Amino acid sequence: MDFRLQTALFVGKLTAGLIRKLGKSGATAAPGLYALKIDPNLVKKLSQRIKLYSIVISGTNGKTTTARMLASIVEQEGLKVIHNRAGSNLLRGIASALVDKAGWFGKIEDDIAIWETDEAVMPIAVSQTDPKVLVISNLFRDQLDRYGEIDKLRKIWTKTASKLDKKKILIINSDDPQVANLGNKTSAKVYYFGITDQSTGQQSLPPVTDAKFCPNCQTPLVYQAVYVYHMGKYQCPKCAFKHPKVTVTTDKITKISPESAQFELKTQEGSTKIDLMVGGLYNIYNALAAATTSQSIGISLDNIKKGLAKFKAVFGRIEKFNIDGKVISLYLVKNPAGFSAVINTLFTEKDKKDVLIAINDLIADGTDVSWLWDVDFSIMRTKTNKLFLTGKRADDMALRLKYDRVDNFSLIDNDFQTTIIKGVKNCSKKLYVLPTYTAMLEIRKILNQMGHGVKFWED
Amino acid sequence: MNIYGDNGNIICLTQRCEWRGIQAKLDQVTIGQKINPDKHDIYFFGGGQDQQQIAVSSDLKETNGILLKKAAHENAVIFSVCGGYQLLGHYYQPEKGKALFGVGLLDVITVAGNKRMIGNIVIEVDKGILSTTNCELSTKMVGFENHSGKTFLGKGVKPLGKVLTGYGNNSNDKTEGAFAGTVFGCYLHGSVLPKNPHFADLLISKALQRRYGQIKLKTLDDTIEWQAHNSAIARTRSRT
Repeated sequence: MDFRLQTALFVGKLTAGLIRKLGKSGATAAPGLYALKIDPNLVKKLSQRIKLYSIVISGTNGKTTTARMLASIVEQEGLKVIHNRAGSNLLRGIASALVDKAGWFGKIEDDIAIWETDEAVMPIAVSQTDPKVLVISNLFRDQLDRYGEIDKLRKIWTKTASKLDKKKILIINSDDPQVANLGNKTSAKVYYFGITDQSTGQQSLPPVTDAKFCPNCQTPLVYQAVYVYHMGKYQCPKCAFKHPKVTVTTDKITKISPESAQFELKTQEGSTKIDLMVGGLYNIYNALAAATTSQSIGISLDNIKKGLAKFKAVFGRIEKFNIDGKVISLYLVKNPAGFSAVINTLFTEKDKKDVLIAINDLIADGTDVSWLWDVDFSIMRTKTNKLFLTGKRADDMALRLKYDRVDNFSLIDNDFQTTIIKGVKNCSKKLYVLPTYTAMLEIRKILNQMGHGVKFWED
Repeated sequence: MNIYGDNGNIICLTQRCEWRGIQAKLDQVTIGQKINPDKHDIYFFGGGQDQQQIAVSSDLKETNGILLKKAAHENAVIFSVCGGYQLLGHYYQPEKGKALFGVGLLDVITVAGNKRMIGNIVIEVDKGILSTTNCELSTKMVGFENHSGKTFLGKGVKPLGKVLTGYGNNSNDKTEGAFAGTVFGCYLHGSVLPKNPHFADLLISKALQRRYGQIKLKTLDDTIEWQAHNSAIARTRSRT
């Protein structure tokens, strides 16, 4: 037995035990952090003890959901899964999960590890866990104050993809040009997923997009269809770069609402109808990513269908609470693409909705609120009934909405408690709450107290 | 170039015109398209990523640089942020390789720095600038900066303001932004114009002046604008 690893494991496990005993948190980061300080190669060593192999999932939006959908499918196949906790997607989060699941002497009983990783951490997570499959879903502008620029991420991702050998599998989104281009830079076996139902697409790109230029020659791309933000069917008018042929797709989306979706999944093994208990076009992308990954490791279409049908929304990503006979649903918003997707999902329905938006600007939210100006809110103009704004940047949100001529504010108040209580009291039957990350944590706490812990879904 | 949430500046300018019954028409100029100096009264030049910045710089080296200069000499308003600001200067010197060509409309130069200057920023705006517009409510401007380039001003420009909180042009001399005549540059994102309606209106009235002479703008109800302005200033004081 490796002495360093053994010490790291003991310290990690004791830290986790101590934190849980004190009731401080779920011990999702600190045990891994300390264990890694003692043995920086802990993740590498323990990853080798996983019975089958690891899968790494990264991208700006949807990685938590994709990872959970995949876990649900893999469990359906009868395999045991180890994964990191939602949002704990730095190396220490992976280390914490490994420390937790390993025995005191480092034995791991799980068959497959599914790791969702932060975009900037992905290369190191790949070199440490040596995954059989790498999944990259999309590249959007997230928090420029943290990462600097998208270009940088693209460069480090390309380097990682080019290092994968031909025994490895790369699952990528064909509809995101910057991500799809990774397929040309690797020796790994590449599976592309994407939407081909052009009846759901829009005609033009939103005014601000993160990646509308050809990754090879910088010429603006020409789009035949746009699905979510810059994701769609594209082609470079100047060079040979174009949308790759998809391996797994849907060409028929039969139903889509804020709460559910139904579509026809088409793969090389055949087709099947998929029912999802989460809505929005972006969740169809997440489901396609999970289905493609499952197929690449030999899981049957039947188990993919069953696994996806069982999947329920994760922590803060469409979570529901039941308070005084009213339904409060939480939709996490953390970047322009995600916010736009939620807005477009919620407000395409006919009825007017009561909405509460909560914007914070702490480090986990992104300290710069400029991104609010990259979201088009004009669809809300005729679709909102009561509108409540809260959070440290409630005034910025009000200003943003005013310039899209959405200004029927019922309340603008920095205080969460006050706004939530009024929102729940004054909404008709349902309140749609759209918080940034740290606002979501606060609001969850308040809702839990108000509902005396009565909630439908939890992570 | 519009990578950085600066779209709000365009929305702000067009809305504030529309609310006053002034018709505003928006055209987007991308690489390869020729600027028409007679057509537009106000230009917005945002920031981009490294690769786009290089492409735009070489585009400006051709006729578009000359055309933009012609527009400025004919008193069109040019407002630039971050990458756009840098390319309106004489040059941008990256860490490695050749300097990027700048139009030279602003007497400034920019050199790559090794530290990113990120955070909320508040400046005290140059007195001369605001005297022409409604500044009773605030003489400050507030925004969010995120740049590694350090900009140094020459004699041909004045700083847009003095840094109260934040880094500014180069984190050394407490200046932020630059202007000369109708050409303005700064590092303020946020987006900057909606939260600083006095400055937005200054740009609009200068743009109108070119065709219609001195015009007094109709006052708008800016309660929400000033609330956002003031709470953003308050945010720079507390970081929790």
